[in-house]
Amino acid sequence: MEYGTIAHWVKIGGTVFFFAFFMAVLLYVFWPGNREKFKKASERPISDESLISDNKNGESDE
Amino acid sequence: MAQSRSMSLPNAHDAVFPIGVILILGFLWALMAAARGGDPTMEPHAFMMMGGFALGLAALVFGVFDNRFKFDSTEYDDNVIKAGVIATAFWGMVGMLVGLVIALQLAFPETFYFAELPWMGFGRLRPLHTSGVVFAFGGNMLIASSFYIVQRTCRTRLAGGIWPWFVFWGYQLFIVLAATGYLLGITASKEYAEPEWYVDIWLTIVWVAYLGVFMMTLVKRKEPHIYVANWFFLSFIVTIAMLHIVNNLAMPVSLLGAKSYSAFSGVQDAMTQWWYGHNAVGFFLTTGFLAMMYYFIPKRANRPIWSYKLSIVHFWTVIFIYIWAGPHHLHYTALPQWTQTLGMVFSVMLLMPSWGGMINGLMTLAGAFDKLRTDPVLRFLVVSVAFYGMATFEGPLMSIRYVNALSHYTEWTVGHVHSGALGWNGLISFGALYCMVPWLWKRKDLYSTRLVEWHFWLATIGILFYITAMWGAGIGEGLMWRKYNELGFLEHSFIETVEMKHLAYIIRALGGGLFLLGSMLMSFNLWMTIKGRGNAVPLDQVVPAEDLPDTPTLATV
Repeated sequence: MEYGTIAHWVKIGGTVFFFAFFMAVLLYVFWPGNREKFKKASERPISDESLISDNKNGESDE
Repeated sequence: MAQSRSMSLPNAHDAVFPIGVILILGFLWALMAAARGGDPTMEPHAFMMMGGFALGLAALVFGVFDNRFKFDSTEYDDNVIKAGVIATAFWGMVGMLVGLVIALQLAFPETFYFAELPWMGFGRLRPLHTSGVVFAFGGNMLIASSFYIVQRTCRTRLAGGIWPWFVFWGYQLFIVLAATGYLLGITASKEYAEPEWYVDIWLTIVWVAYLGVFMMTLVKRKEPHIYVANWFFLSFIVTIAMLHIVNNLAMPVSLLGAKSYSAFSGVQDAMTQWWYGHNAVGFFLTTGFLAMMYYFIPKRANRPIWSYKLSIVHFWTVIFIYIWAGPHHLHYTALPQWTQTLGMVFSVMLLMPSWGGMINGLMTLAGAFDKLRTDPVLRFLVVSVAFYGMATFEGPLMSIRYVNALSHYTEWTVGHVHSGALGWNGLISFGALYCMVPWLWKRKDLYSTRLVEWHFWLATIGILFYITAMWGAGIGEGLMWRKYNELGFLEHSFIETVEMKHLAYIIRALGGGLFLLGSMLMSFNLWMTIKGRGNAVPLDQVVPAEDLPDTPTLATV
């Protein structure tokens, strides 16, 4: 195969791949089912007061 | 799973054997290199490595026989972070001091030139400065803060028993070998990748251990979702491993000598080098420090992240775009034009994720902006993000080919780098250190908030002196270099442009001096906090409710 042919398809493939990947990221970000998860995650730094040992109360770690 | 076993007191002896093997092999190689090394520069290095590996082995043996290697998996592993915090403050002062020395060498070449001391030459001190601040100061900061953040956001103890300690001490050995190598004249002559092949191999071993500790901690997390800061850290660790290994591919002249030759040559070598060089900025100095932003700003301001969705888009776009930006270092070179254009286009696009991240960091303060007046630590964190925004606007601008024609090889580049390095990496590290020290050592507050105020203004004014001087000098010399007279000859000789920069060089050294002074104040303040002086009352003493800190603390009181 010629260099030009390979370059041609790599450019198209790269463009399509990046676009599709970006769309997948947006889909993941705006998926309604993830809303609650992200809201909880945004509060993670300020809700980490407890040490690991607090988790031992109640059910097991599994 | 082994979860239930780990709830009791497990021993960390699993790690003793592999670490012992690594240290013994390293020691034997260093012994051979010391005994029959081909070149005299290798000899001091070989003895240094023997010393390092012997100390490591001694610590290992002592630990096993003294039964030191057991831990409580219900507690965070904070001791290795404490060591990292102290190392960060120490190496920061060393790296900045060397920076001041070379700034003075440029400003007053007659006074600070020592003909009889080759190791004091600019060519050897300059990589010592860059590696000192980027890899020793920044690297220790990254390792310490990543260990801190991954445990808190995953609610689990660091994985690997004593492996985190191997990472810490192994990294210090790397720093000492790199630094002393530059002074001895050992260099692979690749910018920001100057250590020779054997030091590169050692760093690879340490880095794989670091990746292992971080990954295994994520694996045993107790939160279902991996918090975004950990994604940024993970991309930093993985990408640095990839860049480091590829750019340093080389053939040693002998298996016991210091010298090696790169696997690449010509324009491929240049492209590989700047693929490495720019992504060292992108993944060492950007994504790792963004992880700190996404933890310490919400934590300190006591606010949730402004938009978690934006942080995810920020992450994926920043890592996918950054990796292509390297060719903008090679405009108007033998690199094919289309590759230069590709690097330029990706650099310009990079503005969007960068500013998205900046907005996310700043808007996290929404409703809490008043805290900036009273909490200088939060101010450090927030102003660092402002500098991040400024540097990530300037970067895309300078990557445009026609702007680069003016800015390349001038002091403007130096100014740009330092607005990012001092303003963004420096200030956010200081803010994070001021956060972590009272939290780690369980102190009510820092020893002195007034000293933090002093540090903040010394550092900020120092940066302003530095970057304005370098803008003037850079754009000035760029314009002088391209000025023709009416006969078509160059208007200025090179030495005239150097003369023009003299005042700017003095102002730059002054700015750097102020910045160094600030970080010395910080080290003093942190040390007194650790010792529990001033406002740094130990929290295990009884504290009345009204004396509790306004800022969040991890200590259970």
